[in-house]
Order: sequence, then structure tokens, then C-alpha cells
Amino acid sequence: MPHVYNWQLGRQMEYPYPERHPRWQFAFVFNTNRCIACQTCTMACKSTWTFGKGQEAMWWNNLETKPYGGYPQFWDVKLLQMLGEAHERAGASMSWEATRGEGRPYGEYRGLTIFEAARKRYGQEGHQRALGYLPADEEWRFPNIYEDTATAYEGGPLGISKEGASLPEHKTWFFYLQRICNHCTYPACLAACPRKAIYKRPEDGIVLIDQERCRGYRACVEACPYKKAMYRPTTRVSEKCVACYPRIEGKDPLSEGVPMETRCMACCVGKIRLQGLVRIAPDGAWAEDRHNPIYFLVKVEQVALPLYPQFGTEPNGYYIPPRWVPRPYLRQMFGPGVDQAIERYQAPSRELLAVLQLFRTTQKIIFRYEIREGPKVYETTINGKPWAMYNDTIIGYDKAGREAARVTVEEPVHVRPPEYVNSL
Amino acid sequence: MKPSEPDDPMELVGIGVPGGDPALVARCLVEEFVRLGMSDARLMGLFRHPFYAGAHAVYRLRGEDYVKALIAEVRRQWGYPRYTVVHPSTPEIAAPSAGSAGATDPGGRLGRGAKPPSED
Repeated sequence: MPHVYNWQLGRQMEYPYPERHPRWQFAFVFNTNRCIACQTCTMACKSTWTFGKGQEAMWWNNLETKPYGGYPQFWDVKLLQMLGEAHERAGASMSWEATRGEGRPYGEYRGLTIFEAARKRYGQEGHQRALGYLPADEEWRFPNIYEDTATAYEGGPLGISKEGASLPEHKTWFFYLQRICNHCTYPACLAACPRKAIYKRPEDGIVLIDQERCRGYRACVEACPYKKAMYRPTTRVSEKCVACYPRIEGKDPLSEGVPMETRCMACCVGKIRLQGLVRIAPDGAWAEDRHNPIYFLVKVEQVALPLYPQFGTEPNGYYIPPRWVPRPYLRQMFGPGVDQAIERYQAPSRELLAVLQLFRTTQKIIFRYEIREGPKVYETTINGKPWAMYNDTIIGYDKAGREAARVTVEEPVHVRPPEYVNSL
Repeated sequence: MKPSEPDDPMELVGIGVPGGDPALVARCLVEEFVRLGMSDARLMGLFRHPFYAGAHAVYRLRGEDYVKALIAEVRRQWGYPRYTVVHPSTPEIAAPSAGSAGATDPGGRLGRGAKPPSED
């Protein structure tokens, strides 16, 4: 089996196909600290792409409450359990070697990926391409069951409560996890497809299923560790997030010919989402692009981390981790970069504070930003260290080099009178 | 309520995950909204309202004085990172001081850390 380099794991790994990389890669950053679970992203996607017959249980964008929830149910717990059992059989452990360096920002993963674990697993049908499972139909049907909703109450006659139903509460920590296809560098769906119906576009790294070639074997549904390939019974083929590719291509009339962010990103009322395109070098590394906001957040400041990097698909979605959650849970979910990411987010650098302001300032993809320095407006201490805030101005530029956004660190909050609260 | 049936695939099998600190959750929540420019009054409203389950659980568990003290503590650290432009006819807010109503008056923000915007 060919070997490919996975920079998130800091090492080479086995993958069914040799390395080939796109010129640009679709990538995004979600700030989990600010999500309020309004589900506007979910509905924006649903109303754009999956409102048809046979797509009723299909949510390309979903938002789940961790640690209780998941869509499909328990997707990550199930796969982690399978991966854990594979490690036990192999006498290995899912550990990281901490030494960081060039091309290995999180150290080196010493455990097995889903591709490597599959090679050690023998079934009746032989090896899988990637360790995985096929969720049952009912696991897809209720995307937020038991998360923030009532499960049951003691009802009177006819099941109606005299006092009104009371919602059960989680008595512990929780946070919201936003999920779309990660358009992985090494997609497990693509690796598993027996028809070679799945491909990664050379121009932007978006992973698509060729609807003509697909025969609905569901190998992709089984293999995708994030469970973002879904089967549609009415057409008998599988479907997945298409990254709103007409917008990424700049074909939406609103975008004036330049790449535009996806629907789920553009509608985020909590301003937690920023999406972009990062330049990829011929060797698959992210090309140095210091003033691309995604590059800055992931590679320079390293406050945004991949979801379950140990699966080995090199996902291109990155998360600023929720800082109140117990660290062992976060390290399992986002890898060993968690402690540094939280430390940097808690006391943001001058540049980071400005870049965080770019979230949801424009629908156009920002390819470059520029900061104009402003006056110092506040001084304090954070965790015993001095910290200052500057009212800098950050300017975002689109692919054509035109100004797309301009915002200050002290961007004002506008409070509308009640009669105009929903007007634009 | 029907008794639990463990072989029902839709049965709730979730259990509490150990660890976590409600005080840290509350503090992070206050910090995020302070950094987004929310006023003390609105923050208190968020904790008082049962719709906001996480914040309201802290309010019920620890009480109003605890939440007020927490907001004050976070304010001491973060000040008033943004200033607010308030339309004068908004009834829930006290009459704004001269120069801040409907205008982007920076006067109130430069004294941040000590001086809240007029809406508080």
C-alpha cells in the first residue's frame, strides 16, 4: 500500500492511493466557544441542498451537543471504540510523541489510523479499506435526540402533564460541535469506493461523489469516520456535502465573480465560522501564506485544530476548542495541540484579536488581510500576565485583490429599537 | 413513563461524563459575551431566563449575587471591549447620555475598565 505524508500526524501513513494534491484546498475554522446552537447553518444547508424526497434524514450540516449527542447517533464513540479494540489486538496505543518540529506541529502520532487499523482486521469479505461501520437507519433519523430536548415526563391522563412538561437538564459541562464534510486530504470515502465514483477536485480540494458512477454500495458511508457520506434511497446512490461549489467557483451572481463562502458559513448569526481556500504546495504542505486568515489561525497562531486527527484522513475543518471542557476529552477530540490553543485564545495576541473580527464580515472568501494599527485602548492582566487591547483595523481582500471587509477591533454593537428589530 | 428497555436502539444510554467545573463554564460564558459587547444588564437577563439552560442552571444553583459578582470580576479584567450604539427609542434601556445616543461616540469606551456604557 502506498505511503503518504499526513502533517497532522507528523508522519507518513498507509493510504490506498499515492499522494496527489490540489492547487487550493477548501478549509474552514469554527469557534466552538461562541456557538449558541441556533441551527441556522443546518437549515441554510437543508433548504439549499437536501429538501427533496429521500433526503428527509440527510443533514449535510449538523450541529450536535457534546458529549451526549451525535448524528448519526454515537458516531464518534462507536468509531473510537472500534479503533481502541484494533489497538488492543495490535498491542499498540493511541498515543502521541510530543516533540514538535517542522511539518509536525502537533508532534507525532504513534497509534493506528483507520486505514492502518483496517489492514489488521480480517472479515469474511477480507480487509476493509478503512475501519468503519454502517449506521442503522434509526441512527440517522433523529439528529438531536436526547440532546437539548425533553426525553419524557410523568404524564397524567392522556399523557398530559398538569404542571407542564419540564425539560431534563444536563448537570455537567457540554458544548456544541458544528459538523460538515471535512473535504479531507486523504478521504476515507474516496479510498473505500469500489466504483472510483468519488474524486477530489484539483482546483479546490472539494470531495464529490459522481452521481452517474455511484451504484449505492455505501462503502463510503461505512468508511467515512465522520459519517458525512449518506445514502439516498429514492435515487439509490450516495450523496454528501458539495461545499456549495458554485459559490466557491464564484458563479453566484452575488459574488461578482470571486469565490464566496458556503451557505452554512455565510448565515452564521453567532459569527463563529470563517471559511477559505488555502494554497497547497506540490508536496501537499500548506504553502506559506502568512496573511491568509485560515493559514494564520491554523498554522501561525495554531488556535484552530482538526477534529479527531488520529483517524488519519487529514480533515480540513478546524476548531477553536471550547475552553471550559475537561482537557482529556478535548485532547482525544482535537489532539495534543489543545492546551496551547486554549492558552492563546484566552489571551489573544494583537494580531489574533484582529483576525477574529473577520468572522462573518463578508460572504466573499478572504484571501488576504492587512492590519492598520490603532491606539491602545485598554490594559489589564490575564492569568497574571500583562495584556493590552489595541483598536486596530483589519481589512480583508477577495481573490481579485479588492477590499471585501473592513472592521475595527472595537466594532460597535448596534441595538435596534423593538419596532425595527428584524428589519434589514 | 414506560420502563427502560436496554435492547431498544433508541433508548437513552448516555451517562454523565466526569470532570468539568460549572464555575469555569459560567466564567467562559460571561467572558465570551463581554468580548462580544454585551452589557451587564443583558448578561444578567441571559442568566435569569430559563430558556438559556446552561446559564440559568448556574443562576439557580449559585444565585443572583454570585452571577453579579462573576460579571463584575470579568469586567475588571476585560473592561468594556466594545461600545454600543443605542437607538434612543429603545424602551428597555435608560436614556443614553449625551453624545452616545444614535452616534458612534467613542467617549464612553476610552474610559473602559472603569466606566460602563450608558445602557448599563
